[in-house]
Amino acid sequence: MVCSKCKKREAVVFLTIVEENGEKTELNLCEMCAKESVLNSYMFDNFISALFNIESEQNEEKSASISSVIKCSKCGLTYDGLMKYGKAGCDKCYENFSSVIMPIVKRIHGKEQHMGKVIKSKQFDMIKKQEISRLQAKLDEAVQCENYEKAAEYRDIIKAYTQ
Amino acid sequence: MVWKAGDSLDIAISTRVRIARNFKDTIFPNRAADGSLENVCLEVCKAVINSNSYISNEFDYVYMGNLSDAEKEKLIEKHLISPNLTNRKSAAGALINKSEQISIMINEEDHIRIQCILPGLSLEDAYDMADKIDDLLEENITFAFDDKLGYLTACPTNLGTGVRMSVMLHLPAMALTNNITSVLRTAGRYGLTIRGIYGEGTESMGDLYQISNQNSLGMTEKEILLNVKAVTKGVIKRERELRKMLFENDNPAIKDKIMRSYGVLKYAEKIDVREAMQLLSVIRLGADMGIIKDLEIDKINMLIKNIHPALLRDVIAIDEEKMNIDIKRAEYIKSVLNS
Repeated sequence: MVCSKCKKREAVVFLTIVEENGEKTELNLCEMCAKESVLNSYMFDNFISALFNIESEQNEEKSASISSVIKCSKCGLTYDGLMKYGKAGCDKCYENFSSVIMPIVKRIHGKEQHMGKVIKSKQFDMIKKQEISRLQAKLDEAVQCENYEKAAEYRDIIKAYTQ
Repeated sequence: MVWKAGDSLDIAISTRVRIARNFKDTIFPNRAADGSLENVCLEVCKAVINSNSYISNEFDYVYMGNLSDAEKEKLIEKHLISPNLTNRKSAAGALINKSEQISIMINEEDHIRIQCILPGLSLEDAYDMADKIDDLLEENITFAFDDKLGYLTACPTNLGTGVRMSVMLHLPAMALTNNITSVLRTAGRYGLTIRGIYGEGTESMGDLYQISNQNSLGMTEKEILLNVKAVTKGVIKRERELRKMLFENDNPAIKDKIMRSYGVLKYAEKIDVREAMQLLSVIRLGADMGIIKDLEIDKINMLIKNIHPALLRDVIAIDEEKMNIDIKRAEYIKSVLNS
Protein backbone atom coordinates (compact mmCIF):
# COMPACT_ATOMS: atom_id res chain seq x y z
CA MET A 1 0.00 0.00 0.00
CA VAL A 2 1.28 3.48 -0.88
CA CYS A 3 1.73 6.20 1.74
CA SER A 4 -1.18 8.64 1.70
CA LYS A 5 1.11 11.61 2.41
CA CYS A 6 4.04 11.31 0.00
CA LYS A 7 2.23 8.92 -2.32
CA LYS A 8 5.56 7.27 -3.10
CA ARG A 9 6.80 4.91 -0.44
CA GLU A 10 5.24 1.81 1.04
CA ALA A 11 2.93 2.56 4.00
CA VAL A 12 3.77 0.91 7.33
CA VAL A 13 1.69 2.94 9.83
CA PHE A 14 -2.06 2.49 9.58
CA LEU A 15 -4.63 4.70 11.26
CA THR A 16 -8.40 4.53 11.03
CA ILE A 17 -10.80 7.41 11.67
CA VAL A 18 -14.40 6.56 12.39
CA GLU A 19 -16.99 9.22 11.68
CA GLU A 20 -20.27 9.65 13.48
CA ASN A 21 -22.23 7.88 10.77
CA GLY A 22 -19.87 4.92 11.09
CA GLU A 23 -17.98 5.74 7.92
CA LYS A 24 -14.31 4.84 8.20
CA THR A 25 -11.39 6.71 6.70
CA GLU A 26 -8.02 5.07 6.60
CA LEU A 27 -4.74 6.89 6.76
CA ASN A 28 -1.64 4.98 5.76
CA LEU A 29 1.82 6.40 6.21
CA CYS A 30 5.28 5.29 5.24
CA GLU A 31 7.99 5.21 7.88
CA MET A 32 9.53 8.49 6.69
CA CYS A 33 6.29 10.47 6.72
CA ALA A 34 5.21 8.92 10.02
CA LYS A 35 8.56 9.82 11.53
CA GLU A 36 8.37 13.31 10.13
CA SER A 37 4.99 14.01 11.64
CA VAL A 38 5.37 11.95 14.77
CA LEU A 39 8.80 10.95 15.84
CA ASN A 40 10.61 14.25 15.66
CA SER A 41 9.58 15.00 19.22
CA TYR A 42 11.78 13.22 21.68
CA MET A 43 9.71 13.59 24.81
CA PHE A 44 7.21 10.83 25.19
CA ASP A 45 4.25 13.01 26.12
CA ASN A 46 4.69 15.01 22.95
CA PHE A 47 5.10 11.77 21.11
CA ILE A 48 1.65 10.71 22.21
CA SER A 49 -0.14 13.89 21.33
CA ALA A 50 1.80 13.82 18.07
CA LEU A 51 0.50 10.32 17.44
CA PHE A 52 -3.00 11.64 17.85
CA ASN A 53 -2.32 14.77 15.85
CA ILE A 54 -1.02 12.99 12.84
CA GLU A 55 -4.61 12.09 12.06
CA SER A 56 -6.09 15.52 12.53
CA GLU A 57 -3.28 17.12 10.54
CA GLN A 58 -4.01 14.90 7.61
CA ASN A 59 -7.74 15.29 7.85
CA GLU A 60 -8.26 18.81 9.07
CA GLU A 61 -11.53 19.35 7.27
CA LYS A 62 -12.81 15.99 8.25
CA SER A 63 -11.86 16.24 11.91
CA ALA A 64 -13.51 19.66 12.14
CA SER A 65 -16.81 18.11 11.21
CA ILE A 66 -16.31 15.05 13.41
CA SER A 67 -15.08 16.94 16.43
CA SER A 68 -18.20 19.01 16.87
CA VAL A 69 -20.39 15.92 16.97
CA ILE A 70 -18.44 13.13 18.61
CA LYS A 71 -18.22 13.39 22.35
CA CYS A 72 -17.68 10.97 25.20
CA SER A 73 -21.10 10.32 26.67
CA LYS A 74 -19.72 10.44 30.18
CA CYS A 75 -17.12 13.18 30.51
CA GLY A 76 -17.97 15.19 27.39
CA LEU A 77 -14.46 15.00 25.94
CA THR A 78 -14.65 15.73 22.22
CA TYR A 79 -12.77 13.96 19.47
CA ASP A 80 -10.92 17.25 19.02
CA GLY A 81 -9.89 17.38 22.67
CA LEU A 82 -8.67 13.81 22.56
CA MET A 83 -6.56 14.57 19.49
CA LYS A 84 -5.17 17.74 20.99
CA TYR A 85 -4.14 16.49 24.43
CA GLY A 86 -3.76 12.77 23.75
CA LYS A 87 -5.38 11.96 27.08
CA ALA A 88 -8.61 10.25 28.01
CA GLY A 89 -11.05 12.15 30.21
CA CYS A 90 -12.58 9.15 31.96
CA ASP A 91 -12.69 5.35 31.89
CA LYS A 92 -15.61 5.41 29.42
CA CYS A 93 -13.52 7.32 26.84
CA TYR A 94 -11.72 4.06 26.14
CA GLU A 95 -15.02 2.50 25.06
CA ASN A 96 -16.44 5.54 23.32
CA PHE A 97 -13.29 6.33 21.33
CA SER A 98 -12.23 2.71 21.07
CA SER A 99 -11.73 2.71 17.30
CA VAL A 100 -9.43 5.73 17.49
CA ILE A 101 -7.54 4.77 20.64
CA MET A 102 -6.95 1.05 20.06
CA PRO A 103 -4.60 1.41 17.06
CA ILE A 104 -2.66 4.02 19.03
CA VAL A 105 -2.43 1.73 22.06
CA LYS A 106 -1.07 -1.01 19.86
CA ARG A 107 1.42 1.41 18.33
CA ILE A 108 2.65 2.54 21.75
CA HIS A 109 2.84 -0.79 23.55
CA GLY A 110 3.09 -3.24 20.67
CA LYS A 111 0.51 -5.34 22.52
CA GLU A 112 -3.23 -5.23 23.08
CA GLN A 113 -3.87 -7.64 25.95
CA HIS A 114 -3.10 -6.71 29.54
CA MET A 115 -0.98 -9.21 31.45
CA GLY A 116 -0.14 -9.04 35.11
CA LYS A 117 -1.98 -7.75 38.15
CA VAL A 118 -5.76 -7.72 38.05
CA ILE A 119 -8.41 -6.18 40.31
CA LYS A 120 -9.67 -8.62 42.93
CA SER A 121 -13.19 -9.07 41.57
CA LYS A 122 -11.85 -10.21 38.19
CA GLN A 123 -8.94 -12.31 39.32
CA PHE A 124 -10.46 -15.68 38.43
CA ASP A 125 -11.61 -14.80 34.89
CA MET A 126 -8.52 -12.84 34.05
CA ILE A 127 -5.99 -15.46 35.00
CA LYS A 128 -7.67 -17.75 32.48
CA LYS A 129 -7.75 -15.03 29.84
CA GLN A 130 -4.11 -14.13 30.31
CA GLU A 131 -3.05 -17.77 30.23
CA ILE A 132 -4.87 -18.27 26.92
CA SER A 133 -3.22 -15.19 25.48
CA ARG A 134 0.17 -16.50 26.61
CA LEU A 135 -0.46 -19.90 25.03
CA GLN A 136 -1.67 -18.26 21.83
CA ALA A 137 1.64 -16.40 21.56
CA LYS A 138 3.52 -19.68 22.03
CA LEU A 139 1.34 -21.35 19.42
CA ASP A 140 2.08 -18.56 16.92
CA GLU A 141 5.77 -18.90 17.64
CA ALA A 142 5.67 -22.67 17.12
CA VAL A 143 3.87 -22.22 13.80
CA GLN A 144 6.45 -19.66 12.76
CA CYS A 145 9.24 -22.15 13.52
CA GLU A 146 7.26 -24.82 11.67
CA ASN A 147 7.15 -26.90 14.82
CA TYR A 148 3.65 -28.20 14.12
CA GLU A 149 3.73 -30.89 16.76
CA LYS A 150 4.24 -28.30 19.49
CA ALA A 151 1.69 -26.03 17.88
CA ALA A 152 -0.94 -28.78 18.00
CA GLU A 153 -0.16 -29.30 21.66
CA TYR A 154 -0.75 -25.63 22.43
CA ARG A 155 -3.90 -25.64 20.34
CA ASP A 156 -5.30 -28.51 22.39
CA ILE A 157 -4.50 -26.82 25.69
CA ILE A 158 -6.17 -23.61 24.51
CA LYS A 159 -9.19 -25.62 23.42
CA ALA A 160 -9.40 -27.23 26.84
CA TYR A 161 -9.23 -23.79 28.46
CA THR A 162 -11.96 -22.26 26.34
CA GLN A 163 -14.43 -25.09 26.70
CA MET B 1 9.34 0.09 57.80
CA VAL B 2 12.99 -0.80 57.47
CA TRP B 3 14.42 -1.91 54.17
CA LYS B 4 17.92 -2.97 53.37
CA ALA B 5 20.13 -0.60 51.41
CA GLY B 6 20.07 -1.07 47.65
CA ASP B 7 22.75 -2.54 45.40
CA SER B 8 25.42 -0.84 43.31
CA LEU B 9 25.37 2.36 45.35
CA ASP B 10 28.50 3.58 43.56
CA ILE B 11 26.50 4.03 40.36
CA ALA B 12 22.81 3.57 41.13
CA ILE B 13 21.59 6.59 43.10
CA SER B 14 17.97 5.57 43.61
CA THR B 15 15.15 3.37 42.39
CA ARG B 16 11.63 4.61 41.86
CA VAL B 17 8.51 2.57 41.20
CA ARG B 18 5.26 4.29 40.30
CA ILE B 19 1.79 2.75 39.98
CA ALA B 20 -1.08 4.70 38.37
CA ARG B 21 -4.67 4.00 39.34
CA ASN B 22 -8.07 5.61 38.81
CA PHE B 23 -11.47 5.32 40.45
CA LYS B 24 -14.09 3.41 38.51
CA ASP B 25 -16.93 5.55 37.11
CA THR B 26 -15.22 8.79 38.11
CA ILE B 27 -14.01 11.38 35.63
CA PHE B 28 -10.20 11.72 35.47
CA PRO B 29 -8.55 14.79 37.04
CA ASN B 30 -8.00 16.54 33.67
CA ARG B 31 -11.77 16.87 33.10
CA ALA B 32 -13.39 16.51 36.50
CA ALA B 33 -15.00 19.26 38.56
CA ASP B 34 -13.32 20.21 41.84
CA GLY B 35 -16.18 18.74 43.87
CA SER B 36 -15.67 15.27 42.49
CA LEU B 37 -11.90 15.57 42.94
CA GLU B 38 -12.25 16.68 46.57
CA ASN B 39 -14.21 13.49 47.07
CA VAL B 40 -11.36 11.47 45.54
CA CYS B 41 -8.93 13.09 48.03
CA LEU B 42 -11.22 12.16 50.88
CA GLU B 43 -11.74 8.58 49.73
CA VAL B 44 -8.01 7.94 49.28
CA CYS B 45 -7.20 9.39 52.71
CA LYS B 46 -9.93 7.30 54.27
CA ALA B 47 -8.70 4.17 52.50
CA VAL B 48 -5.20 4.63 53.93
CA ILE B 49 -6.07 5.85 57.39
CA ASN B 50 -8.95 3.45 58.01
CA SER B 51 -7.11 0.42 56.75
CA ASN B 52 -6.13 -2.26 59.20
CA SER B 53 -2.53 -2.15 58.12
CA TYR B 54 0.14 -0.92 60.49
CA ILE B 55 1.37 1.36 57.71
CA SER B 56 -1.69 3.57 57.97
CA ASN B 57 -0.44 5.75 60.81
CA GLU B 58 2.90 6.36 59.13
CA PHE B 59 1.35 8.74 56.60
CA ASP B 60 0.89 12.51 56.69
CA TYR B 61 -1.45 14.25 54.30
CA VAL B 62 -0.35 17.41 52.52
CA TYR B 63 -3.07 19.38 50.77
CA MET B 64 -1.96 21.54 47.83
CA GLY B 65 -4.24 24.39 48.87
CA ASN B 66 -2.45 24.69 52.21
CA LEU B 67 1.16 24.68 51.02
CA SER B 68 3.33 27.71 50.36
CA ASP B 69 5.29 27.87 47.11
CA ALA B 70 8.53 27.17 48.99
CA GLU B 71 7.05 24.06 50.61
CA LYS B 72 5.80 22.80 47.27
CA GLU B 73 9.20 23.36 45.67
CA LYS B 74 10.90 21.48 48.48
CA LEU B 75 8.64 18.44 47.98
CA ILE B 76 9.32 18.57 44.24
CA GLU B 77 13.09 18.64 44.78
CA LYS B 78 12.74 15.63 47.06
CA HIS B 79 10.84 13.92 44.21
CA LEU B 80 7.91 13.32 46.57
CA ILE B 81 5.45 15.22 44.40
CA SER B 82 5.55 16.28 40.75
CA PRO B 83 5.43 19.84 39.39
CA ASN B 84 2.22 18.77 37.67
CA LEU B 85 0.49 18.18 41.02
CA THR B 86 1.30 21.67 42.26
CA ASN B 87 -0.48 23.21 39.27
CA ARG B 88 -3.70 22.43 41.06
CA LYS B 89 -4.54 25.02 43.70
CA SER B 90 -7.13 22.80 45.37
CA ALA B 91 -8.62 19.31 45.22
CA ALA B 92 -5.18 17.70 45.11
CA GLY B 93 -2.71 16.44 47.65
CA ALA B 94 -0.32 13.73 48.66
CA LEU B 95 0.02 11.19 51.42
CA ILE B 96 3.67 10.91 52.36
CA ASN B 97 5.11 8.44 54.83
CA LYS B 98 7.43 9.51 57.64
CA SER B 99 10.57 8.04 56.11
CA GLU B 100 9.71 9.83 52.82
CA GLN B 101 10.04 6.64 50.80
CA ILE B 102 6.39 6.36 49.83
CA SER B 103 4.12 9.03 48.46
CA ILE B 104 0.59 8.69 47.17
CA MET B 105 -0.22 11.61 44.90
CA ILE B 106 -3.91 12.34 44.59
CA ASN B 107 -5.36 13.97 41.46
CA GLU B 108 -2.18 14.39 39.53
CA GLU B 109 -2.66 13.13 35.95
CA ASP B 110 -4.47 10.12 37.42
CA HIS B 111 -6.57 9.94 40.59
CA ILE B 112 -3.87 7.94 42.33
CA ARG B 113 -0.13 7.75 41.76
CA ILE B 114 1.63 5.48 44.25
CA GLN B 115 5.34 6.06 44.30
CA CYS B 116 8.19 4.42 46.20
CA ILE B 117 11.76 5.67 46.17
CA LEU B 118 14.62 3.68 47.66
CA PRO B 119 18.38 4.26 47.53
CA GLY B 120 20.56 2.29 45.11
CA LEU B 121 19.30 -0.42 42.77
CA SER B 122 16.37 -1.85 44.64
CA LEU B 123 13.60 -2.71 42.20
CA GLU B 124 12.15 -5.69 44.07
CA ASP B 125 11.78 -3.86 47.37
CA ALA B 126 10.43 -0.70 45.76
CA TYR B 127 7.86 -2.62 43.72
CA ASP B 128 6.92 -4.70 46.73
CA MET B 129 6.22 -1.58 48.77
CA ALA B 130 4.17 0.05 46.00
CA ASP B 131 2.26 -3.18 45.40
CA LYS B 132 1.35 -3.43 49.09
CA ILE B 133 -0.02 0.12 49.05
CA ASP B 134 -2.02 -0.75 45.93
CA ASP B 135 -3.54 -3.77 47.73
CA LEU B 136 -4.31 -1.65 50.75
CA LEU B 137 -6.13 0.97 48.66
CA GLU B 138 -8.06 -1.69 46.79
CA GLU B 139 -9.65 -2.85 50.04
CA ASN B 140 -11.75 0.31 49.96
CA ILE B 141 -11.61 1.64 46.40
CA THR B 142 -12.88 0.10 43.14
CA PHE B 143 -10.38 0.86 40.39
CA ALA B 144 -11.13 1.53 36.73
CA PHE B 145 -10.15 -1.68 34.96
CA ASP B 146 -10.71 -3.22 31.56
CA ASP B 147 -10.14 -6.89 30.68
CA LYS B 148 -8.13 -5.97 27.62
CA LEU B 149 -6.47 -2.69 28.57
CA GLY B 150 -5.86 -3.46 32.24
CA TYR B 151 -5.85 -0.53 34.66
CA LEU B 152 -7.24 2.51 32.84
CA THR B 153 -5.16 5.67 32.97
CA ALA B 154 -5.55 9.17 31.57
CA CYS B 155 -2.58 8.77 29.23
CA PRO B 156 -2.58 5.68 26.99
CA THR B 157 1.16 5.24 27.64
CA ASN B 158 0.39 4.04 31.19
CA LEU B 159 -2.35 1.52 30.40
CA GLY B 160 -2.06 -2.11 31.46
CA THR B 161 -0.09 -2.44 34.67
CA GLY B 162 0.09 1.32 35.23
CA VAL B 163 3.63 0.65 36.36
CA ARG B 164 6.75 2.66 35.64
CA MET B 165 10.03 1.51 37.16
CA SER B 166 13.05 3.76 37.00
CA VAL B 167 16.59 3.72 38.25
CA MET B 168 18.65 6.89 38.57
CA LEU B 169 22.23 6.28 37.51
CA HIS B 170 25.40 8.31 37.79
CA LEU B 171 27.28 7.78 34.52
CA PRO B 172 30.27 10.15 34.43
CA ALA B 173 32.65 7.75 32.68
CA MET B 174 30.12 7.09 29.94
CA ALA B 175 29.59 10.80 29.51
CA LEU B 176 33.36 11.49 29.43
CA THR B 177 33.92 8.82 26.78
CA ASN B 178 30.85 9.79 24.71
CA ASN B 179 29.15 6.46 25.20
CA ILE B 180 25.75 7.77 26.27
CA THR B 181 24.19 7.62 22.80
CA SER B 182 25.10 3.98 22.36
CA VAL B 183 23.42 3.18 25.67
CA LEU B 184 20.35 5.12 24.58
CA ARG B 185 20.13 2.96 21.50
CA THR B 186 20.53 -0.31 23.42
CA ALA B 187 17.88 0.68 25.95
CA GLY B 188 15.45 1.50 23.14
CA ARG B 189 15.83 -1.99 21.77
CA TYR B 190 14.60 -3.41 25.09
CA GLY B 191 11.62 -1.06 25.27
CA LEU B 192 13.30 1.18 27.83
CA THR B 193 14.17 4.87 27.78
CA ILE B 194 17.08 6.76 29.24
CA ARG B 195 16.65 10.43 30.03
CA GLY B 196 18.82 13.06 31.60
CA ILE B 197 17.67 14.15 35.01
CA TYR B 198 17.09 17.80 35.86
CA GLY B 199 17.79 18.49 32.19
CA GLU B 200 15.69 18.75 29.08
CA GLY B 201 15.34 15.66 26.91
CA THR B 202 18.59 13.77 26.67
CA GLU B 203 20.64 16.55 28.22
CA SER B 204 21.61 15.82 31.76
CA MET B 205 22.80 17.74 34.78
CA GLY B 206 25.61 16.16 36.76
CA ASP B 207 25.75 13.08 34.50
CA LEU B 208 22.62 11.69 36.15
CA TYR B 209 20.41 9.57 33.94
CA GLN B 210 17.15 7.78 34.51
CA ILE B 211 16.47 4.43 32.92
CA SER B 212 12.85 3.30 32.82
CA ASN B 213 10.32 1.12 31.03
CA GLN B 214 8.44 2.68 28.16
CA ASN B 215 5.66 0.13 27.85
CA SER B 216 3.27 -0.93 30.56
CA LEU B 217 0.72 -3.01 28.64
CA GLY B 218 1.10 -6.66 27.65
CA MET B 219 3.88 -7.46 30.13
CA THR B 220 3.52 -8.55 33.72
CA GLU B 221 4.98 -6.44 36.50
CA LYS B 222 7.62 -9.10 36.98
CA GLU B 223 8.60 -9.05 33.32
CA ILE B 224 8.90 -5.26 33.40
CA LEU B 225 11.03 -5.51 36.54
CA LEU B 226 13.37 -8.13 35.11
CA ASN B 227 13.72 -6.16 31.91
CA VAL B 228 14.61 -2.90 33.67
CA LYS B 229 16.93 -4.76 36.02
CA ALA B 230 18.79 -6.59 33.27
CA VAL B 231 19.42 -3.47 31.21
CA THR B 232 20.34 -1.42 34.29
CA LYS B 233 22.85 -4.05 35.35
CA GLY B 234 24.31 -4.03 31.86
CA VAL B 235 24.68 -0.25 31.95
CA ILE B 236 26.27 -0.40 35.42
CA LYS B 237 28.74 -3.02 34.25
CA ARG B 238 29.69 -0.91 31.25
CA GLU B 239 30.12 2.21 33.40
CA ARG B 240 32.42 0.26 35.75
CA GLU B 241 34.50 -1.00 32.83
CA LEU B 242 34.83 2.50 31.43
CA ARG B 243 35.79 3.90 34.83
CA LYS B 244 38.48 1.29 35.12
CA MET B 245 39.69 1.99 31.60
CA LEU B 246 39.86 5.73 32.25
CA PHE B 247 42.17 5.26 35.19
CA GLU B 248 44.14 2.30 33.91
CA ASN B 249 47.01 4.18 32.33
CA ASP B 250 47.40 6.57 35.23
CA ASN B 251 45.67 9.20 33.10
CA PRO B 252 46.94 12.61 34.30
CA ALA B 253 44.29 14.60 32.41
CA ILE B 254 41.45 12.87 34.27
CA LYS B 255 43.18 13.18 37.62
CA ASP B 256 43.76 16.86 36.94
CA LYS B 257 40.11 17.39 36.09
CA ILE B 258 39.03 15.69 39.29
CA MET B 259 41.38 17.62 41.57
CA ARG B 260 40.56 20.94 39.90
CA SER B 261 36.85 20.27 40.37
CA TYR B 262 37.50 19.46 44.01
CA GLY B 263 39.49 22.66 44.34
CA VAL B 264 36.72 24.82 42.90
CA LEU B 265 34.10 23.25 45.15
CA LYS B 266 36.32 23.76 48.20
CA TYR B 267 37.28 27.35 47.50
CA ALA B 268 34.62 28.99 45.31
CA GLU B 269 32.88 32.04 46.79
CA LYS B 270 29.70 31.59 44.75
CA ILE B 271 28.37 28.79 42.55
CA ASP B 272 25.14 28.05 40.66
CA VAL B 273 23.33 24.70 40.60
CA ARG B 274 24.45 23.67 37.13
CA GLU B 275 28.16 24.19 37.78
CA ALA B 276 27.95 22.61 41.23
CA MET B 277 26.19 19.53 39.86
CA GLN B 278 28.79 19.10 37.14
CA LEU B 279 31.71 19.42 39.56
CA LEU B 280 30.08 17.14 42.12
CA SER B 281 29.65 14.55 39.40
CA VAL B 282 33.38 14.66 38.67
CA ILE B 283 34.47 14.44 42.31
CA ARG B 284 32.00 11.60 42.89
CA LEU B 285 33.85 9.70 40.19
CA GLY B 286 37.17 10.70 41.80
CA ALA B 287 36.07 9.53 45.25
CA ASP B 288 34.82 6.23 43.86
CA MET B 289 38.09 5.59 42.02
CA GLY B 290 40.18 6.49 45.05
CA ILE B 291 41.71 9.63 43.48
CA ILE B 292 40.23 11.79 46.21
CA LYS B 293 40.98 10.16 49.52
CA ASP B 294 38.94 10.51 52.72
CA LEU B 295 35.77 11.72 51.04
CA GLU B 296 32.70 9.56 51.53
CA ILE B 297 30.30 9.08 48.62
CA ASP B 298 27.43 9.65 51.04
CA LYS B 299 28.56 13.23 51.60
CA ILE B 300 28.57 13.88 47.87
CA ASN B 301 25.15 12.24 47.48
CA MET B 302 23.81 14.51 50.19
CA LEU B 303 25.20 17.57 48.39
CA ILE B 304 23.75 16.46 45.03
CA LYS B 305 20.37 16.32 46.73
CA ASN B 306 20.55 19.43 48.88
CA ILE B 307 22.05 22.11 46.65
CA HIS B 308 18.80 22.78 44.77
CA PRO B 309 17.25 26.11 45.77
CA ALA B 310 14.28 25.09 47.96
CA LEU B 311 16.09 22.34 49.82
CA LEU B 312 19.19 24.50 50.27
CA ARG B 313 17.11 27.25 51.87
CA ASP B 314 15.64 24.64 54.14
CA VAL B 315 18.93 22.99 55.08
CA ILE B 316 20.76 26.17 56.00
CA ALA B 317 17.66 28.09 57.09
CA ILE B 318 18.20 31.32 55.22
CA ASP B 319 15.87 34.16 54.49
CA GLU B 320 15.43 33.96 50.74
CA GLU B 321 14.78 37.66 50.21
CA LYS B 322 18.05 39.03 51.49
CA MET B 323 20.60 36.40 50.59
CA ASN B 324 22.38 35.60 47.39
CA ILE B 325 21.65 31.91 47.03
CA ASP B 326 24.81 31.18 44.98
CA ILE B 327 27.02 32.52 47.78
CA LYS B 328 25.14 30.46 50.36
CA ARG B 329 25.43 27.36 48.16
CA ALA B 330 29.21 27.76 47.93
CA GLU B 331 29.42 28.18 51.72
CA TYR B 332 27.28 25.12 52.31
CA ILE B 333 29.33 22.94 49.94
CA LYS B 334 32.57 24.08 51.61
CA SER B 335 31.21 23.33 55.06
CA VAL B 336 30.17 19.80 54.07
CA LEU B 337 33.40 18.99 52.23
CA ASN B 338 35.56 20.25 55.11
CA SER B 339 33.54 18.52 57.82
